[in-house]
Amino acid sequence: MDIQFSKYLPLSEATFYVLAALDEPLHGYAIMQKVEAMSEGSVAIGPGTLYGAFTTLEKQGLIEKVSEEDRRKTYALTAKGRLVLAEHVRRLAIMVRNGQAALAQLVKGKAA
Amino acid sequence: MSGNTVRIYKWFWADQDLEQEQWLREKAAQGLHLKRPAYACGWTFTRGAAADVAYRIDYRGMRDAAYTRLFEDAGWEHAGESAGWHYWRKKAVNGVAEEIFTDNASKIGKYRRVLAMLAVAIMPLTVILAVSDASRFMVSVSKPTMVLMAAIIPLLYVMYTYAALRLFRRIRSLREAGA
Repeated sequence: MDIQFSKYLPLSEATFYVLAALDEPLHGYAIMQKVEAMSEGSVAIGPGTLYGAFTTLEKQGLIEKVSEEDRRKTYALTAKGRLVLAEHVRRLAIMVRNGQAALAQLVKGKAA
Repeated sequence: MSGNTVRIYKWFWADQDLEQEQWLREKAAQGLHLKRPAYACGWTFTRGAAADVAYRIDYRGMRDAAYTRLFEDAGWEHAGESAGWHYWRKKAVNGVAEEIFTDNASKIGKYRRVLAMLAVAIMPLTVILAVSDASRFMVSVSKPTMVLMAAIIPLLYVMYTYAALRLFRRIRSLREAGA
């Protein structure tokens, strides 16, 4: 699959967590709860923000509705969504490595 | 609890959702709970026990069942709708009011939807004014009607423009604040 990653990246914090929570199909409220747990309470996604994220991500083809029951829509990550998430995580890993190296250098500088 | 209703007239611009939310919370603290949001500036409240209730406003136009369900699952009660504006409320816990929009990008998205609605709402009148022969129309109506229209139509455009400018200003300040 040929994806123009610059169209989707970087993901916002909320978008990243929505995609990351969808390693299994889930409906909206389950995503909100899972994100809060995954992020150790650092990220709470309100229903207004989440509903907007569903609309955008579905339009972009990163997620898809897999079922609807009792007015609750269940979403799953698409193949494209997985690739975008993977590329985002790859870039984050580079950022983390650079950040850690910079901090180590600063500590060493202070000790000298 | 008495079931009497109270009507209060108050005007808000389209970008003043935060002011409305604060005002509704203050009303709830006085025991006035929103029954029907602004209809031609008239707000209807039900008198009841004072409570710390958070109000949050979204602009959605028509709401679908999944939208409503998501908010209800998250503990929000639909307090009313007015011209596409949806009023949600939830009891504040220890004085803390939850948000329905948790990042600036989604707040900006809401104001963009409001701007689009304003543009669509003013469109029919604009088209009529553009295609109609104003001079011929004006002589066909009575003088009081003519004076009234000459006053109301420009005022309408001034208000729409002012509302849109306020929304643009709000979007810009959110954008400057970052995601």
